[in-house]
Amino acid sequence: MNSPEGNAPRGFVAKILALFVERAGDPAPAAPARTSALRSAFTLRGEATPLLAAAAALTCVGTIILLWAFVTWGKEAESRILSPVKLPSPAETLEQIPSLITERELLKSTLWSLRRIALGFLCVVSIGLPLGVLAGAFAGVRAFLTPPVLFLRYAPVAALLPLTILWARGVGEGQKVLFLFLASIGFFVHDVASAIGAVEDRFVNTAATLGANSRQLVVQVIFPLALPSIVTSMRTVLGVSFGYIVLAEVIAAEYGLGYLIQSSERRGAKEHIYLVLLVITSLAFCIDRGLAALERWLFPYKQGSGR
Amino acid sequence: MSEPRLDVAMQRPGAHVVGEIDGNPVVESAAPTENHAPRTPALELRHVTKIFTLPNGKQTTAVRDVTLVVEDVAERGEVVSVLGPSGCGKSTILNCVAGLAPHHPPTTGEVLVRGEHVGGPSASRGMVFQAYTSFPHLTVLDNVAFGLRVRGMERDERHAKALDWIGRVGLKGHEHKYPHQLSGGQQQRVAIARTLACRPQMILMDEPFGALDPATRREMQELLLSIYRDPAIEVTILLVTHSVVEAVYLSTKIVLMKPNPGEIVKLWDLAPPSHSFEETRTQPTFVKLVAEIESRLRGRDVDA
Ligand SMILES: Nc1ncnc2c1ncn2[C@@H]1O[C@H](COP(=O)(O)OP(=O)(O)O)[C@@H](O)[C@H]1O
Ligand SMILES: [Mg+2]
Repeated sequence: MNSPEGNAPRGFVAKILALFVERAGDPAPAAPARTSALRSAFTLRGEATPLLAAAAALTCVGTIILLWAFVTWGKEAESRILSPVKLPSPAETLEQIPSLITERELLKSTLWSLRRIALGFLCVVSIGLPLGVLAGAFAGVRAFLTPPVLFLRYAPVAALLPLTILWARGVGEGQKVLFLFLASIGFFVHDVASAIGAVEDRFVNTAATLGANSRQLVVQVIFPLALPSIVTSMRTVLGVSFGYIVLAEVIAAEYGLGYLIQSSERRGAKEHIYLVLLVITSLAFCIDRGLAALERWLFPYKQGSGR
Repeated sequence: MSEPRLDVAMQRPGAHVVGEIDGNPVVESAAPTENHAPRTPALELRHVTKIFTLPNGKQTTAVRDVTLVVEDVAERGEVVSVLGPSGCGKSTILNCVAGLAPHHPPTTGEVLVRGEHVGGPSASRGMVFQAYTSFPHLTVLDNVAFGLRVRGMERDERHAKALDWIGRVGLKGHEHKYPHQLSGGQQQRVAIARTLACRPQMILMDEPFGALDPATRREMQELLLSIYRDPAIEVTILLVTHSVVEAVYLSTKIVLMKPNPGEIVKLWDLAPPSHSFEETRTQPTFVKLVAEIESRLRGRDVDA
């Protein structure tokens, strides 16, 4: 807008990125392919090459770290823009990694959180899968299950926490699993039922004219065809479970990543909060990517699977 | 299995040559001598009417009073083509014969296949749709073996049978591929082999080649011909198509329909094709019939 060409934002970002890419890549004069890759990355609905995408992401991370270093610059607390109580500097945070691992037993807490997530996930899948398949296949079951599914999908998750403490008589492992279960089961049953319902009639009709009975239609055609969507839904459940378990552990737990955050806020090193947050998001990301790869391997025919 | 049909036909008692075209004997095989009663028709539609009630409460008549008899000819199949503009009830008729809801059951009238009422879908009436319907999670082999598997056939046996059919539709070497690795024509071959593996009495095809390019379409037409000429298969094919040339070339019977409400306008009984497509399509009788049907489809002389 403020440039004579009138396409200032695009040109500006592209120029900055070009600087970055050229420094990161070979110093040779920009090849035409690179220029067009850059242009493509910043045209409407264009595509970015993997190198360009990585460069853009790194630029973002770099900017955040620079900003972070800037607002926490200085030895004395008074000379900083943000006091160390509010935000430790990048160097101070890095220094706390060993204590997080040894004194705070990061690995143990991580395993506890993963165990709770896994148990909750198992409960959600083992109960939600049959219910969702039945709801997707039979309108009567769907109508019957609609009220509790709707309730659980729209109930505020945080409000379920005190209830699970009441029901499970305390804050033991049962309460954690129950909470994860209640927080996800509504969504999962809904997703499975939709996936089953979305299987196209032509496959079902074809199978029927090949002699399949109702049970065979469900087991050999409808369920396998819905499975890719169901697995995508499982991925989502696992992803949000990370958020929910931390919430539950922040409220009350003896171990766990949420417990680490909560106790660091009260009495430990504040740096640990940021480190644990990074651990949680990295773990969730890695698990999601792993499942995405599994999806691509299991369902090569599913368009756009595992993205 | 694939002996020329003429040889087989002439070995049968009661089979006789009824004519000769360009030196080729034309064989009509009569019913076995010990059975003079007419054979049960392969397909019979008796006054079939289907009225749909729309969600807004209005009613539409998809087809009205459709009556059609397809005789059962010994030693070969039949190809009955259904032609007509969109919405004239072609799919409704096909689905009624297949036994698929919501078209089945008809509002009034009867559908009989080899004398038996159609009560629902069955492996004896296979369906091939225009949209590709190969099960994406199964290999070509398991797709073709699907009908055998649901009827409880052992793995080795059904795989052997499926392999045989895969070879017959020209897909040898592709048996371990998945449908997404196949072309459109290959997918329709899978669909046809999968249906044939169930040894159906009828194959119902709803615009099966509509999504294929012309060359592939020609190949598929020849595949259909080889199927219904095969005395060991003896299947009646009910084919919905938009190609008049295809219908006239392939069919032993053509059904022309009109919409609003769907009704049969005219029927033609044709001799089975005996020549290659290239020879046939230039024959005057062929050209004349194609022109007549096309002009009727364009709306002229429909009531004549
Ligand atoms: N499931 C349905 N519900 C309501 N009307 C239908 C349904 N299926 C077909 N029809 C109507 O019946 C008529 C014939 O449809 P169809 O058999 O699909 O025609 P064609 O296959 O010849 O194009 C059309 O007017 C169509 O709108
Ligand atoms: Mg149709």
